[in-house]
Amino acid sequence: MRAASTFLLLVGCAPAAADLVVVNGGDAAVLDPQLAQTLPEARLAAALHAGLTRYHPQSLEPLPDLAVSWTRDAAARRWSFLLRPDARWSDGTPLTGADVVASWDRLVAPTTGAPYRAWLDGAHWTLRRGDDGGEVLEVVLPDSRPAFAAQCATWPLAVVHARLREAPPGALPDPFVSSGPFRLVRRRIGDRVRVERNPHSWRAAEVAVGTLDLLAVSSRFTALNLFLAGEAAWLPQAPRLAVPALLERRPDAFQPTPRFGTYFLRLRCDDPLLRDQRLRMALARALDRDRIAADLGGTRPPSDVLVPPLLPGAPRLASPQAFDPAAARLLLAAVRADLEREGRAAELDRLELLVPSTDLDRDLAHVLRDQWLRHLGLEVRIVLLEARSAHALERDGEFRISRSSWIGDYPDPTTFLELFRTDHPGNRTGWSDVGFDALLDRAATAGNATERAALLAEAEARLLAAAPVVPLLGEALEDVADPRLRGFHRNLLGYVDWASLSW
Amino acid sequence: MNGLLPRLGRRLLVVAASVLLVHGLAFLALRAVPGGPFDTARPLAPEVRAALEARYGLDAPLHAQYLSALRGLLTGDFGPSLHYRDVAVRTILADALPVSLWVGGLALLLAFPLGAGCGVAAAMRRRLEGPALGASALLLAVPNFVLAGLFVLAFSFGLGWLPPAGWGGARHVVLPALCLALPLAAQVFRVAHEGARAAHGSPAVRFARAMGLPPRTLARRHVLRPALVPVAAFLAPASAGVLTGSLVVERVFALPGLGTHFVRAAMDRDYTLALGATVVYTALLGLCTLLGDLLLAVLDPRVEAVS
Repeated sequence: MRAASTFLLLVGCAPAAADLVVVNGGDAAVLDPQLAQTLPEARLAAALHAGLTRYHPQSLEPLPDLAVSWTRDAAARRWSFLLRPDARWSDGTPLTGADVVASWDRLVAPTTGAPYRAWLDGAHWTLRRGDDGGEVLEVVLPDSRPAFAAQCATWPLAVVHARLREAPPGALPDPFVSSGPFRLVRRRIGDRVRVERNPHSWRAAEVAVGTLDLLAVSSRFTALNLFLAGEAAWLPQAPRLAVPALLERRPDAFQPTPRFGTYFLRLRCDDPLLRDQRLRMALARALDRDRIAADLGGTRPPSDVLVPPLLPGAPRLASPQAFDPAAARLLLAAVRADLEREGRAAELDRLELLVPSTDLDRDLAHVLRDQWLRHLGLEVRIVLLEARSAHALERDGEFRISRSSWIGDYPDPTTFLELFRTDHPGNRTGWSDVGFDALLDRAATAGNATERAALLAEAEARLLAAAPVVPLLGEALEDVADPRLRGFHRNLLGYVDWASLSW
Repeated sequence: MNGLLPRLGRRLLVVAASVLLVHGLAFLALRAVPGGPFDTARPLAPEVRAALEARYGLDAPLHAQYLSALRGLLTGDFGPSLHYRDVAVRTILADALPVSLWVGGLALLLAFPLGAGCGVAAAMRRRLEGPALGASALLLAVPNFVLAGLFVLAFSFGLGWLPPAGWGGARHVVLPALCLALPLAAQVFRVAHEGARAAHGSPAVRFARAMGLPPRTLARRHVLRPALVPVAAFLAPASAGVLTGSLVVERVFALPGLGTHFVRAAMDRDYTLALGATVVYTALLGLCTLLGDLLLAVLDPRVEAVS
C-alpha cells in the first residue's frame, strides 16, 4: 500500500499542495504535547492542541482559549479557570473539565515520562460548578506564579484526548483526536505533517488557511532554498553563513529580533580546581562578550546576565561578571599562588571545555579558548563530542566547563533561575546555595510583582557572583518569513499562532 | 545450473546468518557508546528518566534487552522507535524504504548504462578516452553535496525547472537521482573501461579485427560482454549502497529516505530504529550480492552461479 502510494506520487498523482507550507525545522518526534521537548514539537503542538490559554501572537499576553476567563488570588497561588461550555474535540465529541483534569493527572504521573512534569509538582486541581453552572477548574499551586496563565498557554499543559492518553508506545491513535485550531491529516516522518482546519474548534472562524504543511527539513540551507524558491513561506532559523546576505538583500523577510534565551557555560563547582570561586570568576571576567558576538557573526547579542533583560519592567542587572581582564588576572594570580603553595599549579593547564560538535559551538569554543589564552595565559583544552555524548557527560557531571544554552519556556525569569536550585536536574554544576534557594522561595511567596522581580534579580546577582554559570550571548530569533504572510508577528519566544496566519 | 537451488538456499542461509551477526554486533555497538535516547539538552528528572526507561524496556539487563531485540528481528517487529516515540520502527522503515528505492533505483538505471556505455565506447575509440577519463575523474572528485548545490543553482534557481528540495512528485526525484547517479556512473565508467580495454587487447579480439569484423559487431559480440563482467561484480555493493539512501543527498534535498534514518538513529541513540535500519541494509546488501553473482554467472559461464 505504501509502495503503491509512493508510486502514484512519483507518476504525478501527488497530493494537492497545502494552502500554506512552512518549514518546521527538524522532525517533530512526537505528537503528544506532554512528551514534546523540542521547538519543532512545540510548534506542531501549537497547531494541534489547545490549552486553557493561548499567547497573544505579538505581546505574548495570555488570551482565553479553553478557559474563557480566569481569576487568581493576590499571591498568585490559587487560580480559577472558567471553562468554555461549548468546547469540542476535533471529532466533534464534547471536551469537558474532566478531560483537563485527566490530562494534568497524566502529566504528573511518573509513568508518563513527561519532561515538564515538575511544572505541576505539588499542585492540586479540582473541578467545581460556577455560579452560572459552567465548569470551573480550581488550581492551587505550591508557590506563587504570576505567570501561570502564560504557562497554561504552553504545550505541556495542553489537554490530551483519552485515546492519546491511553495509547501504548509506538502507536498513534487513528484517528488522531485533538483540540487545537487544526487537526491532523497525515504525518510522514522526515517529510511533513499536514494539518487542516479543525471545524469543531472554537477558533474555527479565525482560521484562514484550510490546510497547513509543516515540513521536516533539518538542513537550514535546504530550508532557505525552499523559501527562496517560493515553496515555503516561513522557516524558523536562517543559516548562520547566510545572515549577512539576508540582512542586505531580504530585509523584508529577515528581521532578527531578540529571543528569550541565553548561551552560557556551566562550571563544575565540585571540581577540585573549579570549586574555587575566584578561578570561576577569573574565567568569567576574562571573556569579552562583544568580541565573541562579533567573531561568531550572526545576530546573537552579547550577554553577561542569565535572564535576558527583555521582559517589560525587568530590572537591569549590573553583572558581576562584566568583562574586566585586569581583575580577572588578579583573581587568577591569587588562585595560582595558592595552588603553587600546595604544589598543584600544573592543574591549571588541565582545564577542559566540553562542547557539542556543531558548527556554531566549534567556532565558539575556539573563540573562548583564544580569549582565555590572551587575557589569562590559560590554555584550555577543547573536548568536542557529538551532542548525545556531550549531554550524557554533562548530566553525569563528568566535565569541568561545558557549553549550554536555554530558551525560556514562558516569559518569566524563573524559567531560567529555577534551573540552578539545589537538586534541580537542570543544575548540573554541583553548585548549591541555600541563600539562592531561599531567595527563590521568598519570590515564590512575594506579595506583589515589584517585590518578586527584585527578589529574583537579587537571586540572579547571587548566582552570577558565585559563577557556576557564565553567560555569553543572548539568543536571537533568526526566522525568515514571506512578507506577504498576514497575521505573522515575531515575539520573544518565537511562538507562531498558526491560526492567525493568512495570505 | 545443476544443483542451483540447493546452492541458492545455502547462500540465502549465509545472508540470514550475516543479518543475525550484524544485528548482534550493532546491538552491542549501540549500547557501548555513551549517551542514551533520553539524553537531551533539556534535563529530565531522575524519576522521569526511570519511567521512560522502564516504559521502553531499557531498565532490563542487557541480555534480556538483546533477547527482546532478537525476538523483534525474527518477527519483523522491531518495536516502537525510541526517538519517534509514537511510531513503530516497522512503519518508519516502510515509509522510508520506498523513497530510497525509487531514488536509488532511478540513479542505478541512469548510472549503469551511462557508465558502461561510455566505458566501452572510450576503450574502442581512443579520441574519446582522454575527455571521458577527465570527466569521470572530475565527477569522482566533486563531493555530491557540491554537485547537489550546483544542480539546485542551475535547475531550480537558474532555469526554474525543478524544485530545490522536498518530496511530493516525480519532479522531486530528478535532482537527487542525478546527484547519486553521476558519481556512480563515473565509477562504473572506470570499471567498464578497464574491462573493455583488456578485452579489446585480447588475442581473440585482435584475431576478429584481423578477420575484418566491423567495429560495431566487434564491440557488441566480443568487447561488451567481458567488459560487463567486472561491472556486474561492482553492481552488488554499489546497488545496496545506493538503494538504501545517501545521508548527504537526502539531507540536501530533504528526502524522507532511509539514509537519513540510518545515521540519525545512531546519533539519537534510537536503538530500535538503528537496529531495524541496519537489518534492512544488511539484508539488502546480501541479496544484491547474490543477484550480482547470478548476473555474473549469466555473463561469464566460467563463473559458477552462487558459488
